Formats: sequence, structure tokens, C-alpha cells
Amino acid sequence: MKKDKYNIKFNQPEPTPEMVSKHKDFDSLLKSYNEKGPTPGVWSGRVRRIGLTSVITIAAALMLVYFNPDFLPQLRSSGPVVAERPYVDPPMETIQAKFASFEVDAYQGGTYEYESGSKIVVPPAAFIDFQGNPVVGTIQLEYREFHDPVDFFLSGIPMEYDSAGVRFNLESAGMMEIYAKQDGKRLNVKPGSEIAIQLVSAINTKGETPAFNIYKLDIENRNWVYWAPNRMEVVGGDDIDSSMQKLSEPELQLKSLESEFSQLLEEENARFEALELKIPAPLIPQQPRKANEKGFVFDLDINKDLYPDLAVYENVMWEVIDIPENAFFHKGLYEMHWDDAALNASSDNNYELTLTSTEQVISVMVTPVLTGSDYIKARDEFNQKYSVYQQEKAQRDNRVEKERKAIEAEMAAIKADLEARKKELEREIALLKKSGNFRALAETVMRKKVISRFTVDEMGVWNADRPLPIFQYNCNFTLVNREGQQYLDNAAYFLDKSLNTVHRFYTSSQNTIRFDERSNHLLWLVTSDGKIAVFRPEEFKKLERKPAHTLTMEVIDKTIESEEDIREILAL
Amino acid sequence: MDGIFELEIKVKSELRMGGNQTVSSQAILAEWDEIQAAQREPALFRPLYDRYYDRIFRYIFKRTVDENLAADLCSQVFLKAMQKLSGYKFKGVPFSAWLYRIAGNEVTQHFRNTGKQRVVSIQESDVKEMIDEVPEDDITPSVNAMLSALHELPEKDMNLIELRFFEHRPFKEIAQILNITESNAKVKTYRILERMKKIILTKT
Repeated sequence: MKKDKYNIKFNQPEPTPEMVSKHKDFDSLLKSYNEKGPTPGVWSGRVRRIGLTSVITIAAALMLVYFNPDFLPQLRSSGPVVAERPYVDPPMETIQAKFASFEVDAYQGGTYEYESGSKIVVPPAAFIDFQGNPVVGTIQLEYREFHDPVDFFLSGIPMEYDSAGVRFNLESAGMMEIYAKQDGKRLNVKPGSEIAIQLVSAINTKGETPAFNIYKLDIENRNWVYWAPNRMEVVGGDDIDSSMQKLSEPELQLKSLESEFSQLLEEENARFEALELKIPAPLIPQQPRKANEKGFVFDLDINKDLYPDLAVYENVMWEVIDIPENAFFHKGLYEMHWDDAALNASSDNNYELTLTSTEQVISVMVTPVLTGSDYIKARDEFNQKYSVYQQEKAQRDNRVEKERKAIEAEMAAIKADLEARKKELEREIALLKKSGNFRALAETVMRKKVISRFTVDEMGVWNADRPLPIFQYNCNFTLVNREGQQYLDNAAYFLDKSLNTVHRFYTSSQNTIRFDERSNHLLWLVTSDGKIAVFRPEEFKKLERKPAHTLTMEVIDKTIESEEDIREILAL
Repeated sequence: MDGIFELEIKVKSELRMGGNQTVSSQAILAEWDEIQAAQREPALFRPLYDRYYDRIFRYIFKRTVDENLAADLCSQVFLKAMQKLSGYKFKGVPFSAWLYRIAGNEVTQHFRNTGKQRVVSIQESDVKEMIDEVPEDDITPSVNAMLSALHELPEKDMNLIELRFFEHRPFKEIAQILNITESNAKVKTYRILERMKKIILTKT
């Protein structure tokens, strides 16, 4: 049996003012605040920094604010400024891919298999220590792999490649890190020796298998270094992942048409809503209730001048409602002397009667009832009023219906135009498919399993890569939170789902990103309090073609504890 | 019955949920002065605390039905509000909208952390009111059918339904709390009811 999603509590009483006020304590709140202080990293940091500099700087900053119409409040990251960031910069130190550790006889070498199926072939006598002496005995070979954008993100390893001054992002067919140690000390590969790697991974391809090269990471010079061509073998796959697919131009137009259509429906709904408000429905008369002869009834004398809301109740009695909350009520309570009473309107024509004496206070839910001829008189009046109500309601419904039809007719003309355009585009797509040109236009992306074969001559990070083709056009993005505060100096990550890479950048007042409107893009950043703020593919799809956008990031209020948390948040 | 009382009547519907009325622009501006004062001196947060404690407590209580838990979460909400106050910017909406947002997050986080089902407090009459609002068709859904459909709603939609039908807040206030436009709040509500109707129809 399906478990209920919510724990629905029925007819719970509201908290009493006493219940609320007994927990109210500003002094202890202030004490807690003084102990814990304000949340770090929020906006005020910049103000303080300006305050410490010279008067000239303040004047310059003020002018900048004055002359820059795009100035937004800022959320500066609490981390180090960009220039001081390490080249390998893991965003979440505690969530890292684990190394597999192999015990290797350094003299003999051997072949070792990683969990992905990758193989590491160590030749005999391949290691030296830092003094250059050959190493014998058992050593530990540490090895791990990175396969997709989440792995690349968590590793903190940049995928940007500077080739003679031209910047590219490297798309990966698998990346790995390897190092060896003995007695806790790092070892090197002996000059002339090479460790052979058979890296099992997957690539995204739009048809023919592209060529990949092998690059090694040069942390000192903050760049990747070309090493050798990759001898890659396709061993299976051709899976099509719909989330990676790009759209053809007519499909793109069709998508924009669908968005137009849904906006139209929203407008139509809003107009119907407004219509309902414009022509209010008549009030339904209150049906009188007959007193239950077996129930408990109060006869209260109400000063109607003071309480006109109750004036409608002529000769009314107040009957205790038969609900579980009133189960405590018993005949003995009639016998007591009460000093005060208060009636509070509740819901559905019920009231809360509060009786107070020097000893106790009780609250009981009551409802107005009538007896004998009073009830018959009220019932007759109700019948008359109900008949009038029905007539008024029918008139009102007719009027609403008439105006509703007018709106529908107006909208139908626009819908028909959209439908005609939609059919035309669908026809165009069908023709393209028939002509065999559609595949090239749509760039269907397939995922293939591959083995990259290469050798490495030193310990470190190695990557089977290819420089990315240039996207369609550049776009400037300003990233803000829901309060409109700009993100500055945060590590941010941008990807195109059809490509196996992630582009890392540090947020500034304007961020230039190469953007392909046909693709499924995802952008996220890590906030100063370790949360993920994201801008999703469906939001990118809504962006119009213009040179600059302000993106409002959705901060996911979830503590990140594992790689799975990140995959769930990013839907990767 | 013994004794005749001169009744002191408070019309509860006006006070329900601590007054679900929207706030005038002048009141919002006056409040902004108080917020700026509290940004300079945290002790001056007291008037804001006094004004909103009751409402936030009741908001949380509705979603927990547990007095002590509501008190704990309420303390957290105000502590977070004080801690984040320096980043608060004037946007022409009541300060309460910001507090409700923090409170909503605290409640959601609590249920996520504890793995318990999210509590929803409903008066039977509220469900009937909701039935009246369901776009008319050939059927009038029963209370049980409506409850069953409620269980199908994602939390985001449930939040809106709660604010509108179980707490009787005007769309303007709902829009401020959820940080959306008033017309969007209306359209979304209409859509959710439409969806509930579809759920009910598929189950019958």
C-alpha cells in the first residue's frame, strides 16, 4: 500500500496566546546572537574593506557605483580571492574520489585492475626514490579515476587548456591520477620506464568517433601538457541519452512556440481568474440548525449593540458540538459558577466558547442552534433566501459564462495562429528527417564505451582529452541570488550536457560564457556556506538571444554530505 | 444555565493566524527604518521580534502541531534572521515575508533531517472550501478524495495550497512569501486545483 506523503492533522486547535507567549524571550535570543554572531561572508565584508582604505578610494568606489547602472549588492565568497586560489581547487575537501591501493613488488612489477575494469601494467624495477635510488620491496600504488562532470567538479582539477595563447576546454574520455609510495614517501618513475594504462571509460559522440589525445597536468605551470595521441578503441555502446541531445533549428523554433503557447494559456487562466473576481458570487444563506435534544446547550444573552456580528442569531442557543475535542465536557460543568465568558468565531459557523472562573478556564466548541417554532421560522426564511440565492447565482453564472466565452473566442484566434505555425514547423522537421539531413542538424549524441591505451612516465594526473569546438556565441552573465545579491569570487561551473567536461570559472561582476542555445546547459556554484546554487537547463532554455543576462541562482538548502547528494541536486 | 454574561467578543476570523492582512506601503516603509536600526544595533531587533513572534510561531505550529518543536524552530528562525539581517535589502514587501521564508526553510529542513512525514494541519471546513474552488465539472469531489489528491502534491504545491486554503491568506501575501507575482500565485493555485481534479477523476 502506498504510504501517505503528508501527515494530515485534522481540526487541531490553534495555539492559545498563553502557549505562544510563554516561549517568547527576546533576551535569550539576543544572548544566543551575541554568542554566535552574524552569518559570515554576507555582503558587509566589502563595506568594511572599503572603510579601511583611503578617502580617494572611497570616492572612486562611490563614482563607480554611481556610473554603473548595473551595480548590484554583492555576496563576496568567504574563500581566498581568485589570484590566491590553488590551481587544483576541490570545492568540497571532504568529498573526494577514493584511491584504490595496490601492493606492488617493485622488483617484479605486475598488472593490476581497477574497479572500472581499467588495467595498470607496471614494468619490473620501474621506481626510484627522490634521491634517484632504485626502489626494491613492496610499494603502494595509489590510483583513482574521474569520468564525468561531477567527478571533475569534485576533483577540483581544471579542464581548461591554454594552447599557445588560445584557450580551450578539454572534453575528457577519462582522467586518472596515479602515484606510488613506500614507507609514506612518494616515489618517481625511473627514467626510461613507463607504466602502461588501459583506461576504460565512455565518450559522447555525434557520429564518427573523434580523436582524443593524452595530456598530463602540470600543476606548477598551471596548464595541461600534450603528451601523445590516444590509441582509443570503441568496445561497445551507442546508447542515446535524451538529456544530452541538441535541438535542430526548427526544433528550437518549435520549442519557443510551445513556450509562447503555454504563456498564452497562463494569460487565459489569469483572465478567467480576474473574471471570477470581477463578478462576485452571491453569498449562500446560512442554513439554520435544529438543536439536538440530547446535546448540551448554553443559553447566552448577547449584547447585540456591542456585537453586531451576532445580531442575526434571534433566540439562538449554543450547542456543544459532538467532536473529540469536546469529549471532556460533562453535565457538572453546568453547575459551576463562571465569572466570564468569551465567544470567538471559528470556522464553518462554529464558535469557541471560553468560560473563566477563579479556579479554571475551559474552551468548548459550540454552534448556534434553534428550537421549536424559532427553528421552523428560521427554516422558512432560509428556504426563501435560498430560492433568491439560486436565482442570483444562475444570473451570475450566465454572465460569467458569456464573458468567459468571449475570452475563449479571442484566445482561440491566437491559438489557431500558433497551431498553424506549429504544424508548419512539424512538417519541416518531418521533411528534414525524410531527406536524411536531420541527423546532422539535430546532432544526436551517443555514448560509447571506449578503452584508451597510453603510457605514463611520471606520477600525477593524466587525461584522455580533445579541445572543445567553439560554441555558437558568447554571452555575459551576472549571477545573483534570490535577494538580488551578486555572487563574487565563488568557484562556478558550467557545462553542456552533450560534452563530457565542465568549465570552471570564478564569479565576477560579469562572466563571459560560450553558450549554445540548442544545448542543455547547467550552471552551478558553491556558496560561501558550502551550499550549491544552480541554474538549470530548463531555465537556460527560456533565455532570449541577447548579449547579457542576469541569472538568478536557486540555492539548494541541503547540507552536502556525499557525491550522491551532488548528483541528486544537479540531476547528473 | 446559571448567570448571564456580557460577552467580550473577538471575531476570530480577523485574528486567525495573527492577522492575515496585507500591509500598507507606509507601514512597510516605517518598518524599514526599524530594520535599518536593527542592522546597526542588534538589540533594536526587539520591536520586530515582538511584532512577528506570534505569527511565525503559529505558522510553524500549523506545520508541526508540536508546541516545543514549534518553539525551538521559531527561536532558530529569529536567530537566523538576526544573523542574516545585515544582508537584508529593502524590496518594498513586508519584513514578515522574509521571516516566513526562513520559517518555511527551517520546517522543511527539520522534516528532511528527521525523515518524518511533513505535517499539514487542516480544518474540515477548509477542505470543503477547497472543493468549492475546484473547477466545476460533472463531479463534486468528496472530502476523502480531496485528501487523497493532496497526498499526490509535491511539497512546493502543498505550500501554496496551505497558505491559500488552510491559512486563508490573500494572494498578495502569498506572492510575497513565495517570492512570486500575485498573478502567478493565482494561476499556480488554479493549476494545482486543476491537477487535483484530474487526480480525483483518474482515481474514480
